[in-house]
Order: sequence, then C-alpha cells, then structure tokens
Amino acid sequence: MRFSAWQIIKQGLTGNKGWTPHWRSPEPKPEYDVIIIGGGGHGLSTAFYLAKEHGITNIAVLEKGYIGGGNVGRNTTIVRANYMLPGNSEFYSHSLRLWENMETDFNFNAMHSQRGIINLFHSDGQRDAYARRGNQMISQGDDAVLLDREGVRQMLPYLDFEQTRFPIFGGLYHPRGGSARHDAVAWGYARGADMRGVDIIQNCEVTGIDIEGGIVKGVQTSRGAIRAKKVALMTAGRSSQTAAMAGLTLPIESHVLQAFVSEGLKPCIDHVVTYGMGHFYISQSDKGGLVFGGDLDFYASYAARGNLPMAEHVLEAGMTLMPMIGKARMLRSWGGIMDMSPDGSPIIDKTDISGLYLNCGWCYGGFKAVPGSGFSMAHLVAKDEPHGPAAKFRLDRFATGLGLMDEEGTGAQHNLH
Amino acid sequence: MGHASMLNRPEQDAGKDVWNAYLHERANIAGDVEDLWCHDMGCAAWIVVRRNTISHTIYEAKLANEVRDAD
Ligand SMILES: Cc1cc2nc3c(=O)[nH]c(=O)nc-3n(C[C@H](O)[C@H](O)[C@H](O)COP(=O)(O)OP(=O)(O)OC[C@H]3O[C@@H](n4cnc5c(N)ncnc54)[C@H](O)[C@@H]3O)c2cc1C
Ligand SMILES: [Zn+2]
Repeated sequence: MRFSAWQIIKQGLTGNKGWTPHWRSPEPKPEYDVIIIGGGGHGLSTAFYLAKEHGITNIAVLEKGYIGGGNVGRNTTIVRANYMLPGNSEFYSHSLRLWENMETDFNFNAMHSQRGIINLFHSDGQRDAYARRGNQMISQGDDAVLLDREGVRQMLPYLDFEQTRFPIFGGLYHPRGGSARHDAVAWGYARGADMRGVDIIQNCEVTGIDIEGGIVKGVQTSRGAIRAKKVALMTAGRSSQTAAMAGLTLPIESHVLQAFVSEGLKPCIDHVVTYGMGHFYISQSDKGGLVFGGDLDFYASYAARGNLPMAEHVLEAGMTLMPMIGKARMLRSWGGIMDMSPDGSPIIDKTDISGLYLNCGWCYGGFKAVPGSGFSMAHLVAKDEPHGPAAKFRLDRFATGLGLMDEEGTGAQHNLH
Repeated sequence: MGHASMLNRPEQDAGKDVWNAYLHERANIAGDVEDLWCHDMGCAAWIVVRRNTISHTIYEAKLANEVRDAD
C-alpha cells in the first residue's frame, strides 16, 4: 500500500481497518544473490538501493533480533554534512542530499526535520577553526553561516552566555542539518526494500560464514544454512564478531555511548545545539523530550549501558550551558555499541575473500550516513568497485598510512576519537 | 586505554604487518578481556584489568609494569 493523504482520509472513514503490515515475514530461501548480515540502518538501506538502483532483488537481510533494535534505534538522530576532510566531506554531502529525497523515495514519513545545527565556539582559536570548517562546507556545496555572539543569542536566548568556564563567542550554523525519527528510517528502508522483493528475515542470527578456496559461499544461521553469491557484513557494534567468522581481524574497538531523554515538554529548543567544550549536545524530539548526550564512556564494552561518571559529566555540562534544563525531569538513559575505528572514519570496502564485503567503523556518527552508506555499499556490492563519494573509505589505510581521515586531528589510534 | 597486548611492543624492524596488528587490529572480544587502564584522577598508575566487556564485572587488577616484566 502506498501512503498518501488520500489513504489517511479513506482509512479514517473506514475505521482504520485497511492498514496492512509494512513488510512480510518470509521463511529464508535456500539461496540468494546477496545476503546482508545485520538489519540496522545501513543493512536495510543497502538492500533498498541494491533493488532500486541496481535491480538486484534476490536479497536477504538477516537480523539476529528485530529491525531497528540496534543502534539505528538508539542514536540521538543528528543529521548533518559538516565534515572537513576530503573523503568524509563529499560522502556526508552526498548522504545529506539523499536524506532530502529519502521520504519520497521510500514513501514513508521519517520526520526528517532540517531545523539547523549550531556548533558553539568559545575562543578566538576555535572561531578560526570553525570559520575554516565552514568554508570547507561551502566549497563542498553545503551551507554554513558563522554567527557571532549576538547572532547566537538571537537564536538561542536561553543559553548562559557569560558562563565563567567557557563564555560563548559564537557558533557555526548549518541550516540544512537537523534530525529525524530513527525508527522510521529503519522502517521506511525495510518497507521500501520489501516492496521491491527483498526478504527481511528477523530473529535469524548468523553464526558462521562459509568460504571455499577464498570465495564466499553462504552463511550458517540459527535458522539453517543459506547459500549466497555475495555476502555483506553490516553489523555495526558487532563487526569484529561477524568478521571473525570469516577469519578477519578488524581495526575496530567496540565502545559504549550513552544518551538521555527528559520528560516531554512544550517546544523550547528549536535547533540542534552542540557544546563541544563540555562534551554535550541537545535537541528536542517531536514528542517533546529533550534528547541529549556526550562522549563515549571510553572503555571497550558490549553492555549497551554506560556508567554514572559519564552521566554526571553530561548532565553537568548541560547545566553549565543551559541552566533551564535543571527544571526538566530525566525520563531514561541507555547506551549503544559503537564500532570505533582508529581514525574515527568508516570503512566501506571489499575484503581479501571474493564476494565478501565490509561496512563498519561508523563510530558515533553512522545515523546521518544511513542513506549514503547504503547507496555506496549497494554500488560496491553490485559493481565490485568503490562508489565515488565513498571511494576513500578503504580498509588498508591503517596498514599503509595513506588516506587516513582523522577529522579531529588527534592521531589515527584507538581511544583518541 | 586499550587491549593489554599493547604491552608487547614489537621490535622496530618487525615489519609493516606486525606493526599494523599492534597499532590498529584488535581481537575486540565480547567477554573476558585484559586491558590497560590509567588511574587518571588518582595516582597515575598504569594497570592491567581483567574484566568482562558484556557484564562489566572486574575480576582482577595488576600494575602494568609487573605484568610486563613477568613475561
Ligand atoms: C547513544 C548514541 C547516539 C548516537 N547519535 C548519533 C547521531 O546523533 N548522529 C549520527 O549520525 N549517529 C549517531 N550514532 C551512531 C549511529 O547510531 C550508528 O553509527 C549506526 O546506527 C550504526 O549502523 P546501523 O544502523 O547499521 O547499526 P545497527 O542498528 O546496530 O545494526 C546492526 C545490526 O546487526 C545485527 N547483528 C549483529 N550481529 C549479527 C549476527 N551475527 N547475525 C545477524 N544480525 C546481527 C544487530 O542485531 C543490529 O540490528 C549514535 C549512536 C548511539 C548509540
Ligand atoms: Zn591509583
């Protein structure tokens, strides 16, 4: 069924009895052209673009839990294209353009809202760095506006501008940045892929990868063996485990990142605001909750929950920046598992095993990448060659030292991003 | 600060693959691990902690130099 205003009226007048499930629950077939391991945002968007752009529809997405149960449903939904380094810059720019057409593309409301992002700065040096980043964004074809303190005050009057620790000097405003409803992104891609014939198989854990003579042959799962001509590893926080099934050791450490949400409030924060000095960022969801977070807990973890020191740190930073949030009550907090790469940038590449493709290392920034990553991954899997905007996301850059993309300039080593 | 394998620094001329493995590649185990911690806000000691990355249980902590010199 296609969604439209007409459908809403028709269903409303007929007791809403005509809505159908958004995707089928098929039994796995014995063989597929492409198997995608992991039904997160990236796996689902890859299946969607393989079907839509390349006409490959004999695909299974194998998900060990349920669609949207991983990080795609746990993140704080910031969507932006404010990267600076070649490689990242063109990739996220392409991804943001896909975001802008995505809802029409898959005919589902993902509540993508380009409400604008403001990155605050607090010193002359930081202003210079943001001016440079803004110029890079503009030359990439995206938008950026350097705001002085009064410019920020007009948009965000509720901030504490004269705070003694980090007085606010201004901000870099990215009007096309914003947020979206994360579950709806997973559901939209799942629905769009299913409509084009892709099998989405939930509760199906991959337990082994079959390789013969350096060529991938299929996978072993909790629902039996399935043969495949090509297999794509897209398991985010669990990348190292699935790669180990193919004998690969990845340059990845899994870390926990926490997020927090307050009770629902009337609209009070209209943009996404980041406060890098305090490791804090915030936006308000369409349900009214203030959604905010900070930095990694900074120890390897698969627990999907963090510890109190980081919670305290994030809340202190929030109180410093906008004392008004002290009046809101916390609703809940949670964690997700991030596949951290040494330089903080992702990997979309072939492996040494013929027919086996790798997509990982999204760190804490892979939600905005969902459309771009799927589009480029689909191209790689279909054509066996890298796609332009993602061509620099190579696996061998750590071994060779060539083409590292260390956006923060801290070094291409674990634990620095 | 990362896996305790960091204590086994390769020889300078060990070659690209060995150094890549040491610097970048990680077993990244979901389960029992040994990793390096620095007592940042305290005595600044480096310690090797044996713990579980799924349950966050800590089994044991030893001074890093003692672990290194024991090998
Ligand atoms: C708290 C938090 C805040 C974040 N904030 C942002 C943000 O503001 N902006 C942004 O851009 N990014 C953000 N991120 C990062 C983003 O969520 C991730 O980078 C991205 O979702 C990862 O890709 P994915 O959606 O494919 O992952 P996932 O949804 O985790 O998908 C991977 C899937 O693989 C499945 N899987 C694993 N092993 C197997 C197996 N053996 N067999 C079958 N299936 C398997 C898992 O069950 C899972 O569903 C945030 C993350 C967190 C946790
Ligand atoms: Zn100490």
